[in-house]
Amino acid sequence: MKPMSLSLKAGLVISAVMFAIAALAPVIAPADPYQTHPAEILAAPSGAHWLGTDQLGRDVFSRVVHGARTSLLVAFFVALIGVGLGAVLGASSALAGGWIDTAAMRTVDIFLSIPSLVIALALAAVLGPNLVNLTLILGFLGAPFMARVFRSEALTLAQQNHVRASALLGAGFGFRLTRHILPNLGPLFATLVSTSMSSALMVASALSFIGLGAQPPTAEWGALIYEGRNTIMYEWWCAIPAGLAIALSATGFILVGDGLRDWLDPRSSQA
Amino acid sequence: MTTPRLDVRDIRVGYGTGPDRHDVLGPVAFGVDPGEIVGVIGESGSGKSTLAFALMDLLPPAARIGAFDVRFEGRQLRDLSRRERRALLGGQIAFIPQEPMTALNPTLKAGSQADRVLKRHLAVPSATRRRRLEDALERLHVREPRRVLDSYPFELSGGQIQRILIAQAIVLDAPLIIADEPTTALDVTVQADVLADLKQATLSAGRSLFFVSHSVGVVANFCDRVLVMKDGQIVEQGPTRAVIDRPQHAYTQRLIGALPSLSQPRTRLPVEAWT
Amino acid sequence: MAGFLLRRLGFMAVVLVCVTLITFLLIELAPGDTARLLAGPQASEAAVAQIREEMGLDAPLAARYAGYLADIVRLDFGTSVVTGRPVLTEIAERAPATFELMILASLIALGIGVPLGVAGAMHRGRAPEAAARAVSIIGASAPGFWVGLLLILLFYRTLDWFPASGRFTGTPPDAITGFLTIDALLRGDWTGFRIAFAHLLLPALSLALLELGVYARLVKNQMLGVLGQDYIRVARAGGLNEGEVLRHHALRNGLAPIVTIVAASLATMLYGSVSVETVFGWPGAGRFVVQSIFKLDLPVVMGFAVLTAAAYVIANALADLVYAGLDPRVRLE
Repeated sequence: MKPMSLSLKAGLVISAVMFAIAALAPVIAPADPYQTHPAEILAAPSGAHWLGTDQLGRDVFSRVVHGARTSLLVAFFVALIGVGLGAVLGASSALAGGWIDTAAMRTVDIFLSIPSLVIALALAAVLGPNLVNLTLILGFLGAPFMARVFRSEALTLAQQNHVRASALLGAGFGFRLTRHILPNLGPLFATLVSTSMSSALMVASALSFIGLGAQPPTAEWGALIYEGRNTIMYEWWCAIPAGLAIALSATGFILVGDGLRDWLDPRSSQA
Repeated sequence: MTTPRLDVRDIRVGYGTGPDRHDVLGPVAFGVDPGEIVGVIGESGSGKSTLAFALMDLLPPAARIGAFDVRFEGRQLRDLSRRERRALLGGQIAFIPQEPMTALNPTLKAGSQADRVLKRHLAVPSATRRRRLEDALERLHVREPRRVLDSYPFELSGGQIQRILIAQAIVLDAPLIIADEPTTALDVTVQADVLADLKQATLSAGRSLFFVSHSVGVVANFCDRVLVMKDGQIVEQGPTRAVIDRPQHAYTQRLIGALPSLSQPRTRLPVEAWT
Repeated sequence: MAGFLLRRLGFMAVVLVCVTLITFLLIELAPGDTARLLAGPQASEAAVAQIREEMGLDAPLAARYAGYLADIVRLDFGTSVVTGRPVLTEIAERAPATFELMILASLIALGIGVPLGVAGAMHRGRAPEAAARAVSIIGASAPGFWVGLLLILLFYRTLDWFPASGRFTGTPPDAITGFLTIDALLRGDWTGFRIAFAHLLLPALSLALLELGVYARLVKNQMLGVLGQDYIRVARAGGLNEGEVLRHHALRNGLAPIVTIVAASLATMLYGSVSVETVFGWPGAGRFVVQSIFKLDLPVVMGFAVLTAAAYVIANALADLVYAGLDPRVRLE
């Protein structure tokens, strides 16, 4: 096993910390993130409220910490759906070969020529803006690109002799897919999920920021920034911490994604 | 005794630092006289290409040069700055690479790339440069030199590209040509032609040629003197006929003995001899 | 070359038809009565009935799609539910503001990102490479709208150097191009230019950040690949110094694919502009479409989708053409 690079280790630490914060949210921030304190609106950070309160008197620190759960969960599922669906579609296309493969990839090409944002906006307009819809929409929109990547990787696997031999022996499509192809795509899967999580986090929080994702009063980092934006001048603590959380988490995921890719690449030598 | 044009006293090249360090070349010592064709033979990994690139200061950035005592036309190269050494390239030391198909920028026409190099060294107008290049190509038996120079590299054959680079060396009148297995990537028939052209280009102007090859057969017919390398060291050197006919070192003997020959019965190289 | 062009055009047409199909189906399959959706939640029953009549919503699906497609080809994207004016007009009025933003952001991203990437490749293992790497990570992890807020905090609240919202303070110059900065210059209005530019700078910087990082990383990787090629070594062996090697070979080959990346980055700029325009109260098409979504102004949203998809496809096709111009292998095969 190659030694892990410094940036990969750093990325793993950062990501682990963010996930831990999300998991342990009630322990770290016991204050109720939805509890309003009308008497303490827009209070500056203090001993009682570590990051102050927002325009409804809610504890900002608590909202940011609990927001980790929402944001990271959304990012994870968007990545999982996108990469997972893409893996199955891409691998199936490669295994099927022939005109199915060509047709599928042409369709993907057409799809990739359309900026996915406009589709996301159109879908959000039609289906109604909420977090679940957003997660599903972003997940599905990410699948075509992933399908492309997995299909390339799966092509070499599908050509291997033992896979073709198993077909001759009567192994069904599903069998070959799940036993020969998909397990070998594991490293690629892990790398892509990490990288996808960072872009998923960015896009989901951006869409929540404009109001198409998490709806108030949900604590989600993008939504928190939106809530804090009008008071940014004098009550900076409302919007800034959430953005910092996004930046840190995304950095962690990017470092892990890039680091995994280099670590798992059999061709790259030790630095 | 004439002063060698290229006088190599010591070169040592390695990779890695500290405990990971391993030398790939050195110590080596040899000379190349004016008008001489010196061949270097050895198997892959013997360090012969590294030697060629070390002479030109074109080693990969990861390479660590441990020792470098080389005189070129009397000048100690170690005393020159990086820029001064690079300034020697092209005009004083020309290079013919191994793989012609990747030797030129695919997005530029061959002629304009050669012209760029000529422009660096010659203070003559572009029309003159173009004419000299075309003349050189004609003397190297390239048909339609104008069309060849006007083509993109992927439209040309390996032999044509090698001849463009040789023509470049001729026009620049470089006293030393370093050729790194220039014919390995070519068809056998083209090989013979390009070699003949190289020899003619060298002899006609008293140039020296430092010729790296893994083919004993090619070197035997082509070079005046030969260096035999193994594991980064020169195990034997001398006049070609002497080394080929009466090899002194055990490794050279095995190398020569492994050559297929139509007249003598083949001796199979025992496997353990290589280790 | 002609074959290449034809294939590209054909592909473009297919993509655009698919987009119209998607938007059409979305309106049709959306929950709720289609006529109601197109008329808007505020419209009266009579208005809804009229829409149903006008659009022939009782006709079969295929016929309606054909009509929809025909309208789009004639650049008729319907009328806004909110204002009653043609969708195309509404979007076209606000488009220059968004373009101005995107163009400046692209220039900033290219102007900083590309040299950073080149420097990173030329000086591996030293500060420039680390800087390129850091910038690409920050660009990809710091949300543009958040950075925008930080910039407002710093440059407006603390330093009071730049304004925080809108495109202009005072009376803007009369529109020629719709780009306030250009219009001011064209009219010799130096003060006006300064004001317009000051308003433009912070949003453009926020928008540029992500692309900056992408360019730095891609350019660096591309250049590293090029610098490792044989012909670079042969060029050096010919005596060319590093500057010449860079200018004549490395940059030319390394940067050609950048053209295609610039076109692709238009898509990310688009999604970025939506949130950045919101932060800075920038009256562009991005902010407009978001407002339209909340007002359930479907014709605007769908019209925006088709128009932006078309712009993106055309931009990509142009980029491919330019790339073919730079790399002869592409067009001669």
